[in-house]
Amino acid sequence: MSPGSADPTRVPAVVVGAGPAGMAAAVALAETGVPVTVLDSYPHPGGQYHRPRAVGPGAGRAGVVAAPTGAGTGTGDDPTVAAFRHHLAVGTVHLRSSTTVWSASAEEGGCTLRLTTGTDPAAGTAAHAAADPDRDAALLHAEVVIIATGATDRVLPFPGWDLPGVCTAGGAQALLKGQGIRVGTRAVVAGSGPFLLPVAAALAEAGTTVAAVAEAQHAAVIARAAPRIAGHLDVVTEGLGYARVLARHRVPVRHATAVTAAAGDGRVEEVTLQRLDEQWRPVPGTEQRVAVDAACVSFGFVPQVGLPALLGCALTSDPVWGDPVVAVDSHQHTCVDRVFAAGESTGVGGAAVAVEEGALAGLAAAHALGAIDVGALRDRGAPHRRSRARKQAFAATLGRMYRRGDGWVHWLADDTLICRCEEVDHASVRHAVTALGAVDQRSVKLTTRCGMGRCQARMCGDAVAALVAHHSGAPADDRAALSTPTVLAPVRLRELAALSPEYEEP
Amino acid sequence: MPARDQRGAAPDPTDLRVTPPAEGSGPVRGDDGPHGGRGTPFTFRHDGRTVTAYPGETIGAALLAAGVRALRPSGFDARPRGLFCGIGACFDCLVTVDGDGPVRACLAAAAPDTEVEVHDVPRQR
Repeated sequence: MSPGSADPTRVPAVVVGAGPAGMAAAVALAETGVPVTVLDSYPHPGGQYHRPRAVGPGAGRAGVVAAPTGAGTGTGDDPTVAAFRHHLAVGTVHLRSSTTVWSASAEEGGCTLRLTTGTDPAAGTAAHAAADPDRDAALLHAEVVIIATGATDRVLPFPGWDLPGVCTAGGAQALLKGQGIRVGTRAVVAGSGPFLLPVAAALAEAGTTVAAVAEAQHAAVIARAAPRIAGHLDVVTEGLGYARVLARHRVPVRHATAVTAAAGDGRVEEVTLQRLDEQWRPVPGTEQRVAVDAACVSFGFVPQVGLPALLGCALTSDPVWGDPVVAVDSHQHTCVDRVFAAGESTGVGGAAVAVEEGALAGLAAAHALGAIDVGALRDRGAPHRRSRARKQAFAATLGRMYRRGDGWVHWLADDTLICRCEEVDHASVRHAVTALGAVDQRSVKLTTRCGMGRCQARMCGDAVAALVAHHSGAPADDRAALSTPTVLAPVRLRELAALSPEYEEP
Repeated sequence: MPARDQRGAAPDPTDLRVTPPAEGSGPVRGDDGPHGGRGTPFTFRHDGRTVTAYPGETIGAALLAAGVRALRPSGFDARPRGLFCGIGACFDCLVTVDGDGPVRACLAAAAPDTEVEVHDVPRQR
């Protein structure tokens, strides 16, 4: 809250998410003199990229990470993190950690955000309510809102993917960086995309035997695009660094290979590695069983667009991935007045893109509030616009390098779970499409409950869209039209009741 | 490297806890032993057994380090589930704490002397 403000629930600017995009946006806004409130779901700022160590010396400092690696995960010197820390220290940025927006609406003159505090409703109210009176505010009215909600791991289902020990590569990285805990003693890292390498390297450095890195994409497809990324020396150098770590630990990196099944008694004990053809269809007869106690899987990232959808921001389909992403103009402005978006929610591009988009969103928000004039908006934004264009182009190239084939659906068995929450299997989804006339993700959900559970299709939505296209023979539907949740996070009845003026704490 | 005993003994290959590098604020209590730098351990109860945790650890991390991978049975088919997304998005790792919850074990901090229980809520199709 800004000191001296009459009503602590009314603030000029709210940034949702304290990852690279959110931190850059908050810094840009704060530097124009606008007091900024940053909301973040986690106990410490930094997001997934700058995930702080939660355990041991330096715990809680954004950018101080626990991963004991030389593999490029140290982010303590990051200029965005440093600037954000400075603004936190001098009070120009106010951070509300462990705070999640569960509902929001856009009105004349701004947005109303309804908040739940605590990493979980039960843990939160008890732990934080007394410590900070600001935390009692379950409601915020903001004149401008910047959405920087990031992304979650994209995982494609396979037989046994719900066994304990199978986890997302991002989850394994979070455990290692945040908690200093290895996900297993012997693991495979599988899926597709450049993110597999740092996760495998970090696990290997931490002492886990990485039996294989399985990259689904064919090496030839990646090599074809390689000349276009050769100019981005920093990224190439980073990639080579991971490759060196993996070579030192004798970790085999296999292309055109996927984990097509996991098996075990109550937990993963072995995975099946299998060759893929150019369309990512598993090649029969190439199965190889590998004993592991962990399988870390990632096929890139899925943008989190629940909040912008709820605020009425138009979504569009990502040109590379097909995911619903927030539509923004060159100022990161959404179609809703005074609502901006930056980072992965506008299309996955990585932290380097996110900080440029965040800075531009912050400047545009400052201009919307009258804190800077149009000349300052243009001049201060110019370097960020140039950098954004260059980095976005690079991210798109990278996306095309790892564009997935449609053949992965052939590694699904009939009884493979698609929706983990509602336990809907592949045969049920296929039946909905081929026999019940389901034509899109929404009608599959209404006929099977697929995507209706606690995760709200965060884990399965992408796979369901692909399955509808596969089984109907029709091109993938426009998923941008289908993603309007009503509630963004589980909320306790007492938190709902507390919004009523008549409510008294029992 | 895996958790390395400060006295130079060979690390236990099954120990999933990695010793944090000595960075930042210098030595803290509990600096000796295989988990040096993590602070002073405490315990909580899970499903009838005592589990050790260190300050800042989540319930899910402490349980994983204790060898507990299956955290709850799924509602319909009672299939075992554990930590999956690790960042609070998938809701697979639900547990109850002192009868309250469910909370996500990947996010909720472990606390001394709490009773963490399996979130077992059967559902019917």
